[in-house]
Parts: sequence; structure tokens; C-alpha cells
Amino acid sequence: MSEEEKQLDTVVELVRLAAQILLKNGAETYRAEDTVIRICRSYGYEPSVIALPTGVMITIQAQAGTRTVISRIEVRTVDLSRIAEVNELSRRITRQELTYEAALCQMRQLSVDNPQNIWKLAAYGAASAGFFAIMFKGGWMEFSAAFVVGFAVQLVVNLLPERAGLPAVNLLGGMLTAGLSLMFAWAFQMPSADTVIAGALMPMLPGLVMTNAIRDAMHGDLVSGVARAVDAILRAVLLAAGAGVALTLMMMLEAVKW
Amino acid sequence: MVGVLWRLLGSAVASAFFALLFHAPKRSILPASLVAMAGYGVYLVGEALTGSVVAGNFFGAMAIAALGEWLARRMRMPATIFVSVGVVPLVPGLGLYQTMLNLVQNKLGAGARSGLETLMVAGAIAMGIALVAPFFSIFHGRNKSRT
Repeated sequence: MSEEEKQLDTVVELVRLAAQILLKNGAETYRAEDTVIRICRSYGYEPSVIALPTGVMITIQAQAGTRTVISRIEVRTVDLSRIAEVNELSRRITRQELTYEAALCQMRQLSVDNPQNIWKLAAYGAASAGFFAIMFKGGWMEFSAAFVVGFAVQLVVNLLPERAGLPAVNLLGGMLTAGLSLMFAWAFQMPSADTVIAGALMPMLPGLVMTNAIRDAMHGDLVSGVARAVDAILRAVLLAAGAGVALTLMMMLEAVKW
Repeated sequence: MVGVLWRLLGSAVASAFFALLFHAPKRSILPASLVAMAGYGVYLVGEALTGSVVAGNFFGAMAIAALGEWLARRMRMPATIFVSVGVVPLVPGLGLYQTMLNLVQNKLGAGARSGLETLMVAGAIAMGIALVAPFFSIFHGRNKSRT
């Protein structure tokens, strides 16, 4: 294999990984495409690339040959640092600060998933929920209730296997959030559980997905914009449905006096 | 007045923890939370001045998008980080729950109203973000807009 072919193969793998990591962690599709294009151009290649939330297709026609790769994105999470790290690495590559082998090596390191500390995530979710309860005009009681509910729900949601799928996670999340909040309110004679539930729901709402739906649509990627919008709507509706189920159950049990 | 300050502080702190949940880079967390607080503040002012929740969210989202794009260039980080964290306090969680509450209690009229409002708020946020980004592309040139 010639040096040119070796470089081509390496760069193809490099950009495939870059796009995959970005999309897996919630980046905009235009960012993934842009990154691929910039890196390729810094090696003198002109790629054709399409990035979707569910996969990416890259083709490079060079002197040394033609390569096409397709990568499927199965699971999407949110990891803003990874996005920033890939962004930074791609900047360094385009400034020609690395050899292509070194670049691939570093990109491979970034493709390794961070181990999730469930307890930390639960704590962040809990604190977030509590302070959102305050933002919704809640007091100390509401803060504490939202904190506990937020903690429990985040814990359960993160313990679910990835295979459980979106509907299960959001339905369960909504049910647990509303159910636990209402039980809290009933147990402690709180006038209303609304602030608690609103606060505790916030960590589960599809803020990033919705934001990127808009950003992708504005950059002309209509497929991604629509797909992400549907994703956001689905999540929100499932959450609400789950909460509705819990509410109905509680009303039936007459724990809620409405 | 004091209540409003608590709520603003609450929005900032809550967004900071949200940023942690999103694994945001450490040095972006404080700026992003401040963006969130500013956005929420603009929303409160906008809502008070116009009497419309939808308008408040629109202006709030615009503020967040503008601050986010500016910070992205200042800190050499993707704007998404600041915008998605910043927009979190505005995202209509309470409205969604209220709608569900109404529907489950068979108050269909109220449910339709709050449901529509929730949808319009989401749309207003989308519009706010969407209208700001192109400005930065125009004024800062194509290269810089792709941070």
C-alpha cells in the first residue's frame, strides 16, 4: 500500500469517527458535516458528506482512490464536552499541528464513551429540579420535594438499559415524577404539587434536542430539523402522558382531593 | 421584588446543574448559567411589558441566542453549549404539565388553551433562536460563524 493510500484510509476513518462522535453526543448535523469537510480539505481531499441524527455517509474521491463509509448512529446522548473536544481536535488538525496517525489516535481516544457516574448525575438532576422549583415560585418545601423526586427519577432513568427505548424512558420518567411528587404533596399536606412537578420534570425535558432541531433547520438541513423536532415532541408528549397516567391513578386512589 | 431575585438566582443555579448533567466543559458552566439567567430575566421583563407569555419567551430566546453566539466566539466553543443550557429555563415544562392536568380532569377547554399556549411558547423560542443566528453569520463572515 502506498503512502497516499495509507493517508487516505486514515483520514477517512478519522472523519468517520469525528462525525460519529459528534452526532452520538448530540451535536448539530451541520457541525458534523462541517468538521468532516474541514478536516478533509486540510489534507487536500474534497469530500461529499451527509449527516443525519441517525447516521452519516461520507465519500472521498482522491488521486489515491475512492472511499465511501457509512456509520449508523444507534443511540444518542448529550455530552457537550465531547463535542467541544472533537471541535478542538479538528481545529488543531486543520492548523496542521498533528500527523494524520496522531490525529487518528487522538480521535479514537475521544470515541471511547465516558463511564457514567449514576450517583453524580442523579445529584445534578436533583439539584437542578430543586432550583427549578424555586424558579417556579416554590419555597423550601417545594425545593426539598423536587430535589428528592428529581434524584429518584434520574437514578431510575439512568439505570434503565439503553435497549429500553425512548417511550419507556419518558413514560416511566413522567409517571415517576408526577406520582412521587403527588405522594410527597399528600404526605406533607402541601397546598399544591404543581411547582414540585414542574421543577422535577425540567431535567427530563428535551431542551437540547429542540434547540438543535432549530439550528439544523436554519442551516438548511431540513431532514434533521424535522427529525429532531419530532424527537422533541415525542419526548415531551410521552412525559406528559406518563404524568397524566400517574395523576389519574392518584385521583382514583383519592390521594388527590380535586 | 425579592421573590423575583430568588427566581432569577434559581434559574441560574438550576441551569448550572443542568449544564453538569449535559457534561458541559467546566469553564463554560458559569457563562452558560449566566446566559440562562439573562434569558429568563428578559422573559420576565418581556412578559411584564407586553402581557404575553409568548412574546416574553420570544425575546428571552433572542437574548439567549445572541449571548450564546457571542460567547461561542469569545470562548472558542460551539454555540450550542451556551444556547441549549441557556434556553432550559424557558422550555415549557410547567405548561406541558398544566395541559395534561386539565385534560386528565376533563377540562378540555382549559386543556386546549394551555396546550396551545405551550405550543406557541415552543414556537416562540424556536423563532427567537432562529432569527438571531443569521445575523451573526452576516456580520462576522462565514469562517467565524462555524466555531
